[in-house]
This record gives sequence, structure tokens and C-alpha cells, in this order.
Amino acid sequence: MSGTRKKALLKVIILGDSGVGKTSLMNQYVNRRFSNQYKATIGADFLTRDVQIDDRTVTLQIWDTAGQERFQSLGVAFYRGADCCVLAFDVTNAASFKSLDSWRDEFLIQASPRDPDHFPFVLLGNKVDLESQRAVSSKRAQSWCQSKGNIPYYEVSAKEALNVEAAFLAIARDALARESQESNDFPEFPDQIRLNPNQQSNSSGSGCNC
Amino acid sequence: MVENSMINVAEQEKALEQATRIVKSEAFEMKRCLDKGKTMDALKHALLFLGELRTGDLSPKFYYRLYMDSINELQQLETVLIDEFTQDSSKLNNLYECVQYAGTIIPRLYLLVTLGVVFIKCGLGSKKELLKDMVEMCRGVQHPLRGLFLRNYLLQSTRSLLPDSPDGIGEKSARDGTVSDAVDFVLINFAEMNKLWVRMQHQGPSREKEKREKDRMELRILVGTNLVRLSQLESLNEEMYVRDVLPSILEQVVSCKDPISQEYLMECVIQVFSDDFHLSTLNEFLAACGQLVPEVNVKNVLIALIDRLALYTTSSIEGQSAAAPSKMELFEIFSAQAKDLIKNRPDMPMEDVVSLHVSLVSLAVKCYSDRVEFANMSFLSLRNILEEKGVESIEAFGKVGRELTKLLHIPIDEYKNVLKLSELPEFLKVLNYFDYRGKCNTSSYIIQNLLDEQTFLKNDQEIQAVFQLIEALLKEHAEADCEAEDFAEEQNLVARLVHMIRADDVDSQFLLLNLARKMLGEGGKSRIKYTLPPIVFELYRLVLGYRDQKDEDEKWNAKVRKIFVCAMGTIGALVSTAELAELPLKLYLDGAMTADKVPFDENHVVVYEFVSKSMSILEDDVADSRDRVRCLQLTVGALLQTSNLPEENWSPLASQCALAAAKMFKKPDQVRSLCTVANLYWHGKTKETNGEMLKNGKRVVEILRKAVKIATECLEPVVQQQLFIIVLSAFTYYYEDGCQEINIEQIEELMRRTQENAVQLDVSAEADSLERQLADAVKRLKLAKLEKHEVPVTPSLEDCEKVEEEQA
Amino acid sequence: MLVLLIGDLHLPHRAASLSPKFRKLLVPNKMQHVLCTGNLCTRETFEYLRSLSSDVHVVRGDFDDDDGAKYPDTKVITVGQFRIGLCHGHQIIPWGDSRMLELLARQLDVDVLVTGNTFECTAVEKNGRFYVDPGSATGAFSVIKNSPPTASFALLDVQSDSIVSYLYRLIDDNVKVDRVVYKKPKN
Repeated sequence: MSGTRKKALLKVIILGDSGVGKTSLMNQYVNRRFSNQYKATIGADFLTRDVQIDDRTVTLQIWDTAGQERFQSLGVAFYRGADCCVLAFDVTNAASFKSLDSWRDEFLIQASPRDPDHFPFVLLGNKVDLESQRAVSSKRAQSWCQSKGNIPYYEVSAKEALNVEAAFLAIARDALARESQESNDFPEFPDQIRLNPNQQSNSSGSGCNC
Repeated sequence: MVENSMINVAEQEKALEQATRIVKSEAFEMKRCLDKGKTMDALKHALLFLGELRTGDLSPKFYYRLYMDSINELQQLETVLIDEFTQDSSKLNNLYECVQYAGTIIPRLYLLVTLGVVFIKCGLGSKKELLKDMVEMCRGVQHPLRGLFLRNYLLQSTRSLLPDSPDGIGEKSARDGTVSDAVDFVLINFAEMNKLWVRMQHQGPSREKEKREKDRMELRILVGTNLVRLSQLESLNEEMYVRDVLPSILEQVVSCKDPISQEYLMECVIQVFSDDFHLSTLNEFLAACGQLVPEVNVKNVLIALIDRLALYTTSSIEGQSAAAPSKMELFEIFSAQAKDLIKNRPDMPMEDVVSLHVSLVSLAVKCYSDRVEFANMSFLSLRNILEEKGVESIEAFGKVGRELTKLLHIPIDEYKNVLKLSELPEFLKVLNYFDYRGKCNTSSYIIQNLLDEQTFLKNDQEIQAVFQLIEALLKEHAEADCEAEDFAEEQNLVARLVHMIRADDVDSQFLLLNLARKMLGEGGKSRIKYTLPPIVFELYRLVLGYRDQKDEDEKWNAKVRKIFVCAMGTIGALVSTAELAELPLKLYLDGAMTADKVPFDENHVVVYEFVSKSMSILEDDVADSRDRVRCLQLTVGALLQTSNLPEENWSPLASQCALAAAKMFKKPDQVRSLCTVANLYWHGKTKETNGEMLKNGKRVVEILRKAVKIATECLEPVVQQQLFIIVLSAFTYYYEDGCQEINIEQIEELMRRTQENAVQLDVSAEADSLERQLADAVKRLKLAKLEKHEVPVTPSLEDCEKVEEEQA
Repeated sequence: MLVLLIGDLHLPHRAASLSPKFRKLLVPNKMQHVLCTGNLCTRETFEYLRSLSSDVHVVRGDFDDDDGAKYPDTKVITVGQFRIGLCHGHQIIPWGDSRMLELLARQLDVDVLVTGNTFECTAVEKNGRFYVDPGSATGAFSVIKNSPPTASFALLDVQSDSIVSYLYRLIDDNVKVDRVVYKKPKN
């Protein structure tokens, strides 16, 4: 179905504890900017950037989320329809690494992707510019990745713009690979279904015009 | 308009499922049409699925899921349209016209926003005008839930499209607008959303108020996102924030007079804008706090602000901390604010009052670590309030108590030096408002900190200061439960504290230990048994360390004596006041061994005194027979460590031991103890022996023979056997060591007797073990004999066995 | 298999706490067994040892009676091919007498005898047996030593036919380690 379309819109969600740098990573990638000021993220919001993969132009829609639960008062429905999930942690904060399991599990439960065992995740270890305060080794992160089905791992620094470009490019590739698989199956909707454009859905029983 | 309020989750799931199915199927159709280039038809399908968003059946979280699915599809649509029309923009206008005539407003507006975004992204029309139109047209939806989501969609899709160039630069800004236009856009959206949000509060019957408030709380982030958007504008500088943005926000917040909205939005402002902005608008913000409706928990807002700024001013931002003047005023401003707040809300619960002070003290201690008086001021302010309200004896684990604990821990944790607490005179006064348990807990915390940070007490002011802080643990108190585990733990902490007393020189150290001893002595019998022993050991340590200064100090002898007298007196208190037995006994013995090592005049008198005091306790106060055996054993062990007692002092002590051994209640104990005592006469050293062992073989044999005699009087065969083996072993030991007085025939006689007995024993594990021990003893004896009579080289036991086998 | 030998802590009578350098080294769950020569002297200290390993053995030291805990005078545990005996040592009169120690070792029928009371960290092989004293873990004051105390403990690495013992001493606030190997004699 989407084979004829030249452009694809890929939805990517970034998850992780508050303060690991999700917003900074997104800002660095999309706007090439970094700020030391801390501004809490509320709810979920996205930015887009076009990226070239082979002969295709792909729009990456990157959703940045609030790490703190109280900023997610409406729930996490925005997980749905994601083509790829980026898990982020702070290499100087071991607790943020330990949370990864629950972020990943929560995502799989809430988003209920079609093929959970092969859903593309990517792990980003941020703040590698603070090497002297490192609390989680590369090795440790890598073995976690291996234990979760060989998730790709990138050590990045949003502040120094280190490896961010490469990481997101890889993320785009993974998301694209999945999206092209996905698009071929829409089993519930055979050709014959055609709804009368004048027919209202029966769930809106209000007399209001809006 | 009547809302169809369905509270049942299962019903909502069902409704959502139905709606979602329609969205998916229409979206599928839409995409097929797009693939075929039939844009108009695609839009018709879009309108159909957007119609699902007209529902009144879903509560916020469910509506959100439907909303997300719908906008996912709209985003796909947007992408395709942009792709198509970047080339040919004329068709777009047609689409716009078509959509404008769509029947129902919700689908129409969602599509119009989508198209508007497409226009902007394709570079058509004036960005500024398009944004203005879109934010205005959304007024058409006045239903709170649906309106909030619609405006959220607007905000979300225009995120990267807002003009963000500084005002007055470039011609492009005329068409696209500048950051001011973006600000206007967002502020209008924000105001409208807040109005919708507040309206929800009053819609519907009062019995459903709780549900409405719950729904409102779920939706709060939609309103807050507007503020986030403002904070994301790069060109929004401090001037604009101060002049236009914050006043606008505050006006909206204050005028709506809705507690949920006010409390959330004030906290939101603190969260999303940068610290610089807060510092420059502090007064305005705080003034607004004062104008909030009474139901708002202003304390939370204030605390959020104080905590955020405390964090900011402690971290170094590019090496430049906040400008000194504003930093100074911060504390005063907040203190004044807190004071006003508390005054204006006389019914503010006590835990909130304390909680506010937690933030203030935190600010004072973290940001003004060199200005201790600030922290003191905050403590004083709290104390005044406590006094005014007649608060007394705050419960340690109650609501107020927990906040008070947090408060008191702040300077302890931050200063990392409990001695600095004495610079906060109000600290102790506030501490004393706690109940007994609270005071004890805090005292324990203080001692633990002192131990962890290795804070030594070097002079008497420091000791006084710390002991004053931990007074609750040191003095007798009716509420103290001396049997509790807590009590032992606490007193053990105090005991550990004693070892942190470290003066620079011996004289001072002695005075300090004396001082500590006096103060700890007031703790009564249940405390001193924990806290005085460390004093004794510190005294012993002190005097041993002082040993080498003998030639440097002319008063050396007197001082040494004084230290021992002090130790003796301290142990005496354990006997008389605490009524202990074994512990002082051991302490006396340690005193004896210590005194023996220090060559002061007539030290043997002191040694003698120590030992005899210890033996008195053994005589009179140690009742249990097993304990008596053990204590005698310790006494012998200690006496053997001495070597400077003159014979005339040593003998009576040794005789006493022998007597005590013979007087043991149970015969087996007598035997064992006698064997122990025998050691005294062999290994013991006196002044006269000059470091050599006494090796009084005659006395040794006498004692051991007596032991044999008593052993034969034991009736139980197994016990008798055990005892025989012990004595046999003892004989062998001395024989090996060259005791001439041991008659080998007599030992062998004993050995044969023991071997005969072995045969008579009933079979048991015990008997087996004794068999083995006997065999071992026999071997040893044989070996010793060999050694004595012929062999120059010492064979091993194994060789001996071989010889046996050969001989057999 | 690692066995921690530790004792004569004398908390809180003679020392305030275990040195932070030692605390750092003593990581939970790294040692399979903990053998304590005694003189803890509080419940708290016992709980601390329990936090290091689930298999903790304590024998009675001369100052252990006051907190009500009743530890035995001697204990024997088997680790791999080795029988290890544990006793505080104040019961051996005279204190530190090597013949008496050997007697005890024979009585208990052990390959290794662990004792305390001397406040000196030593590991010595004699007549086919291994005698180890972990000293005082807190460097507590001792009346029988002439020089100031050194904090120490020992670690036994029990292998199939030999034991490598590591003696840890805190000298001038630095941790120094010595290594002594004991091979079980063929019998």
C-alpha cells in the first residue's frame, strides 16, 4: 500500500527517567541546539525532521515525553502507532539505567505493537561528556542490550552533539524497516467496506452542532 | 446540551473500541484514496473519522486514546498533502473551500487546522494571519472536553511553525510575524483553554463534582502545554517575559478564581520557565500568590519556587553564580512571604508551617552556607510560631513530627559537622519541642553523623556542645524504656562517641575524659553500663600511650596514678550503681594488666588492688557456677600476663585462685579449675624471677594430684574419664616442658587407670571421642618419654606410630 | 571459596567503628562463609556480619557475654577438603601458648585453627597444620600488646588442596595485603 509513496512518516517515542536528557537529545537532533537550563517536559510533544535513507526521504516524528509520572495525567496513549522506541538513560546515574526495564515493559504493554518480540528499540546512553562521573559502563549497557534481543546501543552526548546524528539515523532505519513490513497487513478491512459519507456514527447522541 | 456521562469503564472501553474501529476503517479508505490521487474523496473519509471526536461518551483518558489515533491519521494526511502540493499549490485552495462547507464543526475545524498547517508548510499565505485565523476559529467549539483537545491539536501541529524571530528585524517578519505574534497566538489559546477548563468545574449536578474534578486534573497538561510552548520560544527574552508574558498569564490565573486552575498553573509556571526569569519576576509572582483564592495550597507553590531557586543558586552556571544582590534578597523576600502567608492563614495546619520552614532552612543552608545567621533566623521564626500557638511535645512520627525531623536533619546533613550546630542556638530550642522519642531520634542522628564524618571532639567546649545536643539520651527520663532494643542501640551510639574524644596532649585528654565521665555518670544505672566501659578503655589507652613520656614530665608518676584511680573509680560505679558483676571484673583485670606494663612507682600496689577487687567480685557476686569457672579462668589468664608483682604480693593472689578453684560447687569444675590454676605456678612471673617463669614444679604436682583425687570422687564414668584425660594431658604438658617433679611412673599409673576405664564405658559418641583423646594423650606421653631418654631428633607423632607398629 | 576471618572488634567498648577502608572491601555476598573469633560485642555488629554472608559462625570472646548472646566456645566447619576450627583463644591458658593451641587443634581434629585474642594478624604453618589469627578488625586497644594496634582481618581462598590466605592490615591508613599459602599435607 505504501510502496508507491515516496515519503514516509515515522513515529519515534523517546522514553526514560526525568533528567536523563530526552528533550535535549531531541533538540540537538532537530534544532542542533543545547541549553543547560532545566525546563520540565509536560505531557508529550513532538518535533519532526526529514532524513534521507537510501533513496527515500523519511520524516521522523520524534515524540519527547515527560519522565515524571505526574506530568502524564492523561495516560500514555501517544505510544500508539509508534514505529520505534528509543530508551534513554544517563550514564552518570545508575538509577536511570535500572529503570530501563520498566520503561520498556510499560511501553510494550501500553502500545501493544503487533510483534512485540521484534519491535525495534534503541538504547541511548547520554551525558558521556561527563566521563569522570560515569556510573554505568559501556559493557554493562551492552550486555543489557544483548539480553533484550540485541538492541542497538549508542553512547551519546546531547551537549557536545556527540553521536546524536548517527544514533537517530540508525533509529530511522530501524523504524523504516518495520514500517514497510507493517503496511502490508491490514486484514480487518477488506475492500468491500464503504461507509456512506452521510451516515453519522451512532455513538454521538448529542444534539449539539459541534 | 446534556452530557452522556458513562462512568463504567467497561462501557467506555466498548464505546472506544467501536469508535476506534471506525477511525481505522475510514483512515484506511482515506489512504487508499490518497494513493489513487483522489484527494477530495480522501478528505471526505477524513471528515467521517473525525466525526467520532464529537462523542460525549468518553471520559478524558479514553477520549485521549481516540484523539491520538485520529491525529496519527491526520498527520499521515498532512504529510501526503504537503508532498503533493509543494509542487502545485492551486489545488489547495479548492480543498480549503470544500472543507469549509463540511457539515459539523468538529471535523471541519480539525481539517481546517490540518490544512492551515499544510498551507504554512508550503509557504502559502501569511503565517501570521493563518495562525491568527486558526486560533480564532477554534472559538466555535465551546464544549470543554472537545474544545481542549481541539486547541491542543492546534498547539501541537503548529509547534515548529511559530514565528520565532526577534521583533523588528527583517522584512520577512512582516508576513510571517515575529516572536510577539507567536506569543499573542499562544496567549490567546491559553486563555481560551483555561476558560474551557474552568467551565468544566460548574457543568453538571453537584453530586458529580468529584468526578468532574478528577476529569479536570487529567486534562491539566493540555492547558499547561501552552506555557511550555511559550518557554520554548528562543526569542522570548527576559524583557518580553517580564513585560508581556508573565503579567498576561498571571492575570488569567488570578481572574479565573478557580483553585484547581490556580494551583496547577502557578506550579506550571515555576516548572517551565528558566530560573533567570523567575528571579527577575519574583515580586510579581509572589504578589499573585497572595491574590489566589483561599482553597489553593499556596504553601506548595511557594515551596516549589524556593526549592527550584535553591537548586539554581547552588549550582555554578558557567562559573557565574547569581548576581550577589539578588541572591541576598532572595532569602529575605521568601522569609517575609512565608511569614505573611502564615499570618494570613491562621488555620494553616502545623505540618504545613513546618514544611514551609523546611524549604526556607534548605535555602538558607544550601545557598548561604557562610551566613549561618540566616538558618538561625528561620529556626527562630519557627520557634516563635510554635511558642505562640502553644505547641508542645510534638509526636515524633506524626505529620508534624515528620516535617520537623526533615527540618532538623537539614543542617546536620549539609554542614557535615555537628559542631557547627552550636552556631545555631535556635536549633536546640526547636529540637526541644519534640517529644522524648523525637529528641532521642534526633540525638542518634547527630551522633551517627559525627561518627560518619569522623568529627573529633578536641576540647571541653566541643564536648559540652555535643552533649547538650544529645541530652535526651544522656539523662534519666521517665519515658525511657530501658529494656527496649532501641535503648541499647542508642546507648551503644553514645558509647562509640566516647572514642571520638581526642585532645592534643595527655593532660587535656585526661581532663576531657573526666568531664565526659561526669556527664555520662548522670545517666543512671541503665545507661552507665553502656557508656562507662569505653571511658575505662580510653583511660587505659591514654596511660599506655603516656608511658614513653616518663622522662619528659616530672609529674609523670602522679599523673599515671591519677589515671588509674580514675579508672578504678569508674569501674567502681559500675559495681555499686549499675550493680554489675562480670563486666567490672573484666575491667579490673584489664586494669591490672595495664598497670603492670607501666613502670610507675609502686605500680604493684595498683596491680594488686585491681586483681583483688576483681577477685572480690568473683567471691561475692558471681553466682552461676559456669560463670565462676569462666571468671576464674580469665583471672588466671590475666595474672599470667603480669610480671612485676613482687613475690609477697603475687603469692596471696595465686593462693586465692587455688582456693577459689577448690571451692567450686561442682566437682568437675573443681578439677578443671585446678588444672587452670596449676598454670600459675609454672608460667607465672614475679618481679624476682626477672622475666623468667616460676616453674614451681612442686606446687604444680601438688595441685594436679589434688585434681586427680577429686576426679576419682566423681561418680559418673564418662565425666570421670573426661577429667582423667584432662589431668593426664596437663601432667604430660608439664612433663614435656621439663618439670622434674613429675614422677613418670605415677603418670603412667594414671594412664593405665584411664585406659582401663575406657573399656568399661558404654558405647556412645562421647566415648569414642574420649577414646581418641586418650589415644592422643598416650602418644604424647610416649613421645615425651622418648625425647627425654634417648632421641636427639624430635620425631613426629606419625613416626612414633610406626615405631609402635614395629614393636607390636 | 572465600572465607572471611574477622574478630576482636570490641564495638563499642574499645572502638567507634570499622574503618571505612575496610568497609569498602567487605562487600556482601562475595564470601561464602564468615568466621568470627569473637568479641563483637553487640547485636548490631552481629547483624553487620550477617549482611556480608548468610553463613556466619561466631564463637565466644571474653567480652561477649554482656549482650545475652550465647556463643559456643569452639566450632568446627568443613570447607571443601578442610576442617577449620574456630576459638577465641582466651580459654587457652596461657594465652597464645603454641603447644596448647596445637592440643586444641588435635582435639578438634582440624587442619586449620583460627583463633584471636592476640590482636596480631598472623598465619603460620606448624606440624602440618595451619594457624591463623585475623587480629582485631577495628584495631582496638589491647592490654597485651606493646605497640599501638593495627586493624586487620584475613581472607581464606579455599581451593581443592590448598588454602591461600590473604592478610589485610591497615597501616597508616593504607591497606596492605600479605599472602601465605598452606597446602594440606598428604596423609
